[in-house]
Order: sequence, then C-alpha cells, then structure tokens
Amino acid sequence: MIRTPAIDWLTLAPSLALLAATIASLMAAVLVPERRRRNVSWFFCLAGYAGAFAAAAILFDRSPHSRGVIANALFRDRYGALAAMIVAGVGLLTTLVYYGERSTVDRVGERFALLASAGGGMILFAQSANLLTLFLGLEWLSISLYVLCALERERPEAIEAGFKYLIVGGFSSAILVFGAAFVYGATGTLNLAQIAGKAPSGDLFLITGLAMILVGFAFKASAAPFHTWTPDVYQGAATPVSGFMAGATKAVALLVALRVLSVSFSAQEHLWTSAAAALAVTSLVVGNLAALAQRDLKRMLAYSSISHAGFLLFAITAASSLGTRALLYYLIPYGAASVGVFALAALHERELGEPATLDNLAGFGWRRPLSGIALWIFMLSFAGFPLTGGFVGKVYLFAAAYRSGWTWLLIVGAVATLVSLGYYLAVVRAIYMRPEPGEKAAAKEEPPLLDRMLSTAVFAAVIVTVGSFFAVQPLIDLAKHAASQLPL
Amino acid sequence: MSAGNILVWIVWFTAAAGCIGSALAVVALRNALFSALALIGNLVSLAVFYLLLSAEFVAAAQVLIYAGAVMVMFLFVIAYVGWDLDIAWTGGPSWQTLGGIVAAAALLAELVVVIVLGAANDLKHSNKIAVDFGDPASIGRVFLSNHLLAFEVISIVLLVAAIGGVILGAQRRRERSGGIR
Amino acid sequence: MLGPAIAWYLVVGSAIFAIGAAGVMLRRNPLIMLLSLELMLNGANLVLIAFARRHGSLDGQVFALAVMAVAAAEVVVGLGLVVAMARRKIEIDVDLLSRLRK
Repeated sequence: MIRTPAIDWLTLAPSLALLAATIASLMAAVLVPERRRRNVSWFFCLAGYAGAFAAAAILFDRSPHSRGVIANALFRDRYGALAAMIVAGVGLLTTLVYYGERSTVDRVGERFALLASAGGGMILFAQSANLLTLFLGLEWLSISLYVLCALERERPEAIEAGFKYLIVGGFSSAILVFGAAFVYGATGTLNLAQIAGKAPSGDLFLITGLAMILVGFAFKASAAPFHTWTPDVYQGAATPVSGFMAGATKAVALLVALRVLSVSFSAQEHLWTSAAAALAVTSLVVGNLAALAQRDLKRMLAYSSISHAGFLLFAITAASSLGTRALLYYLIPYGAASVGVFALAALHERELGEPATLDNLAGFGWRRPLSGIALWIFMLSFAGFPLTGGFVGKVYLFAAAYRSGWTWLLIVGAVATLVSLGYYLAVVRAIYMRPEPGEKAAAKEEPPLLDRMLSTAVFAAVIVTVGSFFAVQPLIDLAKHAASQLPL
Repeated sequence: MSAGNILVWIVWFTAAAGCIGSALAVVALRNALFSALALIGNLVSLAVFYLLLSAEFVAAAQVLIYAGAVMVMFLFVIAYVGWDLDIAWTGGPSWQTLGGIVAAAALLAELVVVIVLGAANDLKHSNKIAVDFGDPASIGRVFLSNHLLAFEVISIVLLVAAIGGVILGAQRRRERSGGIR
Repeated sequence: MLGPAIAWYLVVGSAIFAIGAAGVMLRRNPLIMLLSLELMLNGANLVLIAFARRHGSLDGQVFALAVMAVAAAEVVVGLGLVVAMARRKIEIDVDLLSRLRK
C-alpha cells in the first residue's frame, strides 16, 4: 500500500482556479458557437484570475506560519500568497486588455486558455518548495508563454519571436537544471529548506550549482547580460502579452530567486549578493543606454524593463527583510504600470494599424486627453516621481541597499534614474507634439476607437499606480507579513 | 581487478566514446537529418550509462520514449520542412561564433576542474543501494508519495505543450482557402 | 560499484552539456538548435542520475524523468514553431511562383 501525502487544497487553490479556467476556455473553443466564443472564453479566463486572486487572499489570511505541504513540494506561506496575488492582479488587467486585441478574432479560446495557464504556472512556481516543483512550475509558465508569443499570425516576426523565446528559455532552463543537479549532488536533497546546512559552505559542487541557478534566474528576469532576447520577444509578441511578461514573469522570477537564495543558500550570502550587485549594475547601464537610442515604443519599454530588473535586483543585493519588503511593494505599482503602458501601446497600434513609435505617437495626448494623462502617470511611476507608487518603491529599494552597506550601488542607481528621465520624458513630450501635416491624417480624422475593457484596465492600473503612493502603509504591512516568513 | 570489472570498464569507454562522438556530430553536421540520427545514438549510449548506474527504468524510458517516440517526431518534421531551414537572427555571427566557442570551452574547463577537485573528497565512494534501486516499482512508489505533485504537474506541462503543438502546427481552414481573415 | 567512479560520469555529462550549449550558440539552423537543446538536457540528466547513484536516493532519477517529459514538451512546441516558419516560407515561394506565371 502506498501512502500518498495529504493534499492541502487551499495552497493549490490559486493555480487550480487558473487550471480550471484553462480547461473551460479550451472547451469553449470547441463547444460554443463561433460568434459567442470570444466572450465565453474571455469570461472564463477573467473568472479564473479573479478566483485565483480571491483564493490567494484567503491563503494569505490563513497562513500565519510558513510550512511545507504535500510532501514538502510547496510552501504554504504569505510570501507565496502575496506573489500569487500580484500575478493574479496583473493577469486580471491583461485579460481585460487582451479582449479587444484585433487578432483575437482567431483561435480566441486557445489564447485565453494559454493566458490563464501561464498564470497558473507562475503561481505554482512562486510557491514551490523543492527544486523539482520549481523546475516544473517554470516550464509550465514558459511553455504557455512561448506559444502565446507566437500566436500573432498576422505579423511575420511573431513566430520567430516565439521561437527565439523558446530557444533562449530552453537554454536557461537547461542551465537551471544543470545547476540543480549539482546542488543535489552536493546535498543529496531537492528540498529547498534542507539544502542549507547539508554541505560545507565552501563546497565546490554547491557553489557551481548556485552560480548556474543564478544564471537561469537572470535569464528569466531579463537581467543584463542575459537580456538579449527581451527586445525581440517583446516586440514580436502581442502587445498585451508583452505587458504580462514585463509585469508578471519578471516579478515571479525575482521573487523565487530571492526565496531560493535566502532559504537554501544563506551560508553563501556574500557570494550571491555580490553577483546580484554585478547583475544590477550591468542591467542599469545596458538597459538605460539602449533605451535612450530606441524609437520603437515596445523596444524602448523592453529596455526599460531590463533597467527595472536592475533596480529590483537591489532587493536581492540587500539580502535583508527591508529589501524583501521593498521588492514586494515595488512589484505592485510596477506590475500595474507595465500592463497599463502596454495597454495604451496596444490601443495606439489598433488605431494606426502599425507598431507604435515615438514619431507616430505625436498628437496622441491631444486626441485622447485621458489616455495621455494615464501615459504620463505610468511614465512618471517608472521614473520614480512622487505621487506615484514608483517613487515609494524606489526609495525603499535604495534605503534597503544603503542599510546593507551598498553605498556605491546607490550612486549608480541615482545616475541611472537621471538617465532614465531622458527616455521616459521623451514619451511624454512625444504625445503632445503636433503631428506632421499629411502624416497619419487618416488616424486623426477617424473618431477615437472606444474599447471599454481596455479603458477599464488602464483606469484600474492608474488607480493602483497612484493609489499605492497614498496607501503605502497597508501595502507595506502586507509586504511585511510576507517578508517576515523568509529567513532574512 | 576482476574480469567483470574489466568488462564494465570496456563497456564504459565504448559508451563514453559513443556519447561524446555523437554529441559532437549533432552540433557539427550540416544536415539536420544526420544530426537527429546522431542524437539517437547519443541517447542510446546514455542509456548504457544509466544501466551502469542502476537506473533501469530511466534507461528503458530513454530508449523507448525518447529515442523512439520523440525522435521519430523529429525525423518526420525534418522530412516535412527539409533540413536546410534558416532563420534570421539579429547580431553579427562572426564575433558570436568566437564568443560561443570561448564560453562553452570555459564552461567545460571549469566544470572539469570542479569535478576533479570535488572527486578528491568523497566522490569515489557511493552509498550502498538496495536491490530494487531504480526499478519501475520503486520509481512508481516515489512518484506517488514524495513527488506526487510533480507527477501531476508533468501531465499539465504535457497538456499545455499539446495545445501549443496543435495551435502552431495545424493549418487553418480559412488560410488554406486563401487569404487571412 | 563496478566500473569507474561517479566523477567519470560527471565529466562526460558536463562535456555533453557544454557541447550542446556551444551548438545552441553557434548553429543557426532551428532544427539543430533544438537538437542541441536536447543535448544540454541530456547532459544534465546524466549528472542527475550519477548523483542519484552516489546518494542512493531516487530523487535524482525522478528529476531526470521529469526533465525527459519536459524536453518532449519543449520539442513539441519547438517543432510546431518550425513547421509554422517553414509553412510561411513555402507560402511565400508559392505566391512568387503563381505571380511569375501570370
């Protein structure tokens, strides 16, 4: 008789909700008549993300102590629950934006099924408590995203973007598995909590494994120098999907990296903090300098997300409770602003029928005053201006780095922030430029496209971005509860 | 050294030569069809290693599923699309080639140094194992107890991949009758 | 244990991994890139199974089986993309041909 482990259904509930949504949307693709298919699958996807958010909130409430469940395959704790809430929130907004995507008329059921499935994988990834579940969660989310990227059949570069993402993603997963194998070799266990203390802190296999796992995570978080795939993939994928990748994938990659490093490799802290500092500086330099040179809006946002990976890595460099809190807090306005800004880019593309560039953005702010203001707010939040959550987040991250003695990192961060103003404000300036006469006159005369779902999503993203500035205390409290469960 | 041990060493070196040789062939051959055949050779020689390491079930799965089913899929696709497919990648290839070789060589050198140094400690020893180590029953027991969740998640990953394969590989009706949308 | 010690297996596994990594970085044929990716995962699998033997625990073998399944999943999606890319190319060729004929 085999004794199967006890199943903790509440821990599984967020990813199960999204798995159910995946299957329901997929069924809708077959069973529902074509003209109602989009609404039905979309609704299932939305319901899945809403259900996942609710389940994660309940899980957060009912997990005051961190413990391993289902034969120590998953952590039941507030850190994972808060990560699940961030993913579900970003997914909810993305689903709203994705509804009106023009190419969504074809294969709608599968699109929403894959969007829900990617979220389910992310949540499992964020909760994983051993290297095997971690790897499988990562693959679940990655494979969904590879396909989602390649779905834009109308654009020839989409399939190539999907393929590039698959190759680079597979490459980084293979490095991660190889690293995991060496960690297993050094310690004899796959369990994250048991890895610490099983081998001497200078064990060569353990350190090799640590280095390779770190590289794997750096690829997923698109931190330089492992970022080269990011601009191509963000440009090739459907615009709402790019927003989802920028907001959610990066978030879980960094959160899981921080958990693995702090839980399993506490004895090697001096090594991984230095490595994270090096990655942070490279990302800031590469991301900011390359972003300055971009004219294509989505490419620019891709480089901006690389530079944000640099800022977010400050939290891992700090390796403190304050750093964890800062990371968890900052991911909330950052995720909202990412989805929001890609939603506006999608809106602009739908009106124009061509990729958004800084040149054809001219006049956007006059034609659509409210969307213009929203774009303002997202850009200022990315740049870290007061009255947006980005400001508080950056202050927290800088404070965490300073407290842990990384003063020189602060200087790099400050310079990077100044440089980033160059391209963020360029967008703000571009949308209030008068369009050149004759160019895009058609777009000007047409009445602006009305998309209620997309407007709702942008509005919600603005509320979160600005609201997180005014509601700092409750959000920080949430982050504090979650952060206290990591051994930092 | 006993006669049995000498025999194992001979088998080991044959398999190692097969592994490394076929791996090099996969990367170096121009024709993807031959590369795929070389990978099958690589998979079979690896299965020999797995048997020597008392992983009987994994060895069987490797030969039946990996070298059998997965590679047949590969061969079908190569037959369908032709072996000389090329895609455009951004970035100049010349310095990338050099960088790739240097990076891979550095990685290999580093790993070998690590392994040799690590072997100085206790790698020569391995734990005593039970008779049923690595047989199907024991693997099944682990999958249903300690790694139950992983077992279930594998099926989800395969489901997602199947959806992806169908969406990407299948031809649309409207596309075939000409004109997109 | 008969035959060579664990370290020998690790060296072979690392070599296969490095050769595969070089293949992914150097080759531009999508099919061969996919095959090289498989090589990398196989190198990792050999290391996992060697360590499983060393520790006398089945976790490594179970991980290796999971890696195999995931590799198959990646191959399915990768080949789907290859077919889609090739089909686009064929469509373009056919377009060109029919235009030339007119």
